[in-house]
Amino acid sequence: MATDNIIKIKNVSFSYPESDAPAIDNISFNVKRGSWTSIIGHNGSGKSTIIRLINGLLVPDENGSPSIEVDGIKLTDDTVWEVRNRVGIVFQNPDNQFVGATVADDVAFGLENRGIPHSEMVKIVPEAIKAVGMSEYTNAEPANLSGGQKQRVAIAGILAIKPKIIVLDEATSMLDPEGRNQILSIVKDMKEKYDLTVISITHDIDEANMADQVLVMNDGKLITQGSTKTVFSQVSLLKNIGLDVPFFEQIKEKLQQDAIKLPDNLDSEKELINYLCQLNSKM
Amino acid sequence: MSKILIGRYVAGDSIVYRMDPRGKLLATILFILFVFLANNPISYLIVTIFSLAAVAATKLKPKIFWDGVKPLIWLILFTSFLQLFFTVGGTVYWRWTIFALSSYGFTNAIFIFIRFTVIILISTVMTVTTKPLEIADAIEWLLKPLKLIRIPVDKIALVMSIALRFVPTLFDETFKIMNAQRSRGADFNNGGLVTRAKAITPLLVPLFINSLETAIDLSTAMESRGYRGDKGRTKFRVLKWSNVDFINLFYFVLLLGLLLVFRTH
Amino acid sequence: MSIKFKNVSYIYSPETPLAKKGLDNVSFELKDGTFNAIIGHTGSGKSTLMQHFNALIKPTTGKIEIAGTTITPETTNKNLKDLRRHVSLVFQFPETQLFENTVLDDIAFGPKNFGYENEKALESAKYWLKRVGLSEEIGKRSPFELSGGQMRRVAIAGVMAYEPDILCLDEPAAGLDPEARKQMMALFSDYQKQGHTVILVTHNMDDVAKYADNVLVMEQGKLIKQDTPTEIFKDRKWLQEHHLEEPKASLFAGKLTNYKFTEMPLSINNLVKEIENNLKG
Repeated sequence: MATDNIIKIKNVSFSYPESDAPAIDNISFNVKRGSWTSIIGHNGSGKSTIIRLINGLLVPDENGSPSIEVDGIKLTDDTVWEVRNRVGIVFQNPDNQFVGATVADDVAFGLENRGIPHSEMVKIVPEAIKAVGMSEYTNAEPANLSGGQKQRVAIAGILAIKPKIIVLDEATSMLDPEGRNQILSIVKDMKEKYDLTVISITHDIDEANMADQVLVMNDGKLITQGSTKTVFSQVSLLKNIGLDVPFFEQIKEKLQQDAIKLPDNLDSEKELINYLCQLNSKM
Repeated sequence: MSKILIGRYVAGDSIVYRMDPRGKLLATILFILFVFLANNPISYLIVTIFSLAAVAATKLKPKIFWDGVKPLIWLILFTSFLQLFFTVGGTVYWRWTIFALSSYGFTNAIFIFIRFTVIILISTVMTVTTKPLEIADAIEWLLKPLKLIRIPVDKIALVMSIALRFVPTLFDETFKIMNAQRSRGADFNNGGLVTRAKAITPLLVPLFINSLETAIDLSTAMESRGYRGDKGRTKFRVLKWSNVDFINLFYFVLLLGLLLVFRTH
Repeated sequence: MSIKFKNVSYIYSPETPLAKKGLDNVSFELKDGTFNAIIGHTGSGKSTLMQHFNALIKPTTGKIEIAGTTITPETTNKNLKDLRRHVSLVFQFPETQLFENTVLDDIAFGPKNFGYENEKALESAKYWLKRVGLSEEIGKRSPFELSGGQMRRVAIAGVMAYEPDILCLDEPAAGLDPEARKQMMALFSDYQKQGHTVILVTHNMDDVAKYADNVLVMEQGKLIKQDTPTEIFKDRKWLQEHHLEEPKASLFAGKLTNYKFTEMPLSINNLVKEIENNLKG
């Protein structure tokens, strides 16, 4: 159970009606249950379109017999609401997803839509608000909250419906570093606590580096995928399509250019630092 | 400007704040109807005492209520003056062409003045002690019978609450765009009417486009969060009647009784 | 002609229960033709400070001298055009300010307001369209057909097209992808090198380290430090006390515990050089 694929995407393409080039061009990939997947690529590479296909906001082109499966459910017109019960999305703009008049109302929105009785809502809502550390703002109005706080409320609204998958659709890109770090640490905790699968679409290389699996998109195509190790060591490929590389990979590259020999297995910043410190103490 | 749109809610704590918004809305409407029953000095005295008691029960500063009356004071005085000079009857003290000062004129002017003022006072009691959202909830409840003739009351209510929620956001946006265009040399303060009307395009177009984008984003978010119309939807925000509300309504029944007894038949 | 702030304070909603100090007795001087960064937490007064530069906000007390204009609490909203022609502000997410039918018209809006002849305004618009990295063909399109990143470039061209002496930017690269971010920052750096003053409000310490000559640190409405990036980022303890981030290079250097650094490296090149010096002994 622990290692099955919670998302299976096969031969999926998508074109926007007014455009001739497909936004998504024949993509297939799987996401393991309980894993963290990052999708990176420059603006307009099709990252966000994939998410809208996964929860049925968009419907894939018919050619190539596409199939999308979420938590064992094949996505069709009839199952779309079942799929949406399993996928919670935190969108980019903190203001444009805050539906409720207050924090509590907003967190309850998803529950109201699913017809959860009032007696249960009054139990679930404060719990979800507490999980994101917003209890003292329960009755606050969105106008009095920072962007980061609004995104925390968005996460609470998702936790309330107990989904299997949480998607961050550039959810931290409009926040300051403090807000961004808070959101990422909350999502990390929640992932462990509720055994969630996380998909994060991001430009932030540190955020992408939190993943088990990285997908790289360019012009609607999935150009490479794999562990952070395999993807981020392809420094020149990433640079060619205008993407960042984790800082420690940049240092490795520069040291090696200057003929300093590094072993192949330095796969994280920590390992690089340990190695460099050892190297220095030997001298 | 912002006060008119966002409502005039003033934070406070008194028995009026703890009342159910439905009760307050109902009482306000009833009061406005009842005031028209008053037709002699004693019944006008009753409505005056009653509305002043309501004002006192809010425990707010009188200035807040004066702020409610102030914008309309000229209208009230003007209407009262019309009554004063155009009512004929009783003892006539002075007459000039169509104008006349009569005893009926005096009493009518005073009655009109009181009627206007107490209606504004009671509405102010409602609006300063009830959040716009609660008023929206109360209106929704009041409109519920319309469901029978298939008017989508729940949808209207959701639209109202979302609209209210986005008012401050829209204001922020407006100020931000104004400042951005000012930085680009736009001038919103000077020039004649035509110049000013033209100057507002760089403000209105972005506001309209941004609102549209917000609406699209919001509908995407709502659909993702499982919104599929009213069917099977439950409500988190519920209003509860309490004893205070029954006592409040009882007072209004009492008012009705007193007016019916003391008015001139 | 430098920019001078003398004891500037600003109070939001004065004489109400909500009164809040936006700026608290801020004094500083910025030299002409420099690249300045303003850093500090959200709510530290950075944006309030920025809006003083072209008198969108006037000080409650104190005096500002900028681009030949003196701004005091008594300054009225009239006759500010000359100031705003020389001091330009770019707000966060400036793409929300676009409104014209075509991209070129939108870029030309500022120049026209500041007295450029029609033809000259369009000429300048064309030039700046190119400078921000967009093709001529885009000039004829509606700004609302463009991608978010392209709209951002158009908006920024619209503020640079009348070539203000002082360009103030609030997080101009927020939400852009890394490549677009680099291009944007290079554009501002070039602009400064051509003899203009640039003031950048940002959270990105790598940009601060790379481009700024001078850094202002704000906290709770007060200016708590003004210095060069080297000096600001040297004192790690002070940065931590004020919850400020470090550039990636110095952060990495700090973790190399048994290395000796002659100077705190602020760029990756300096960092690598210092590492190599250590290894060579």
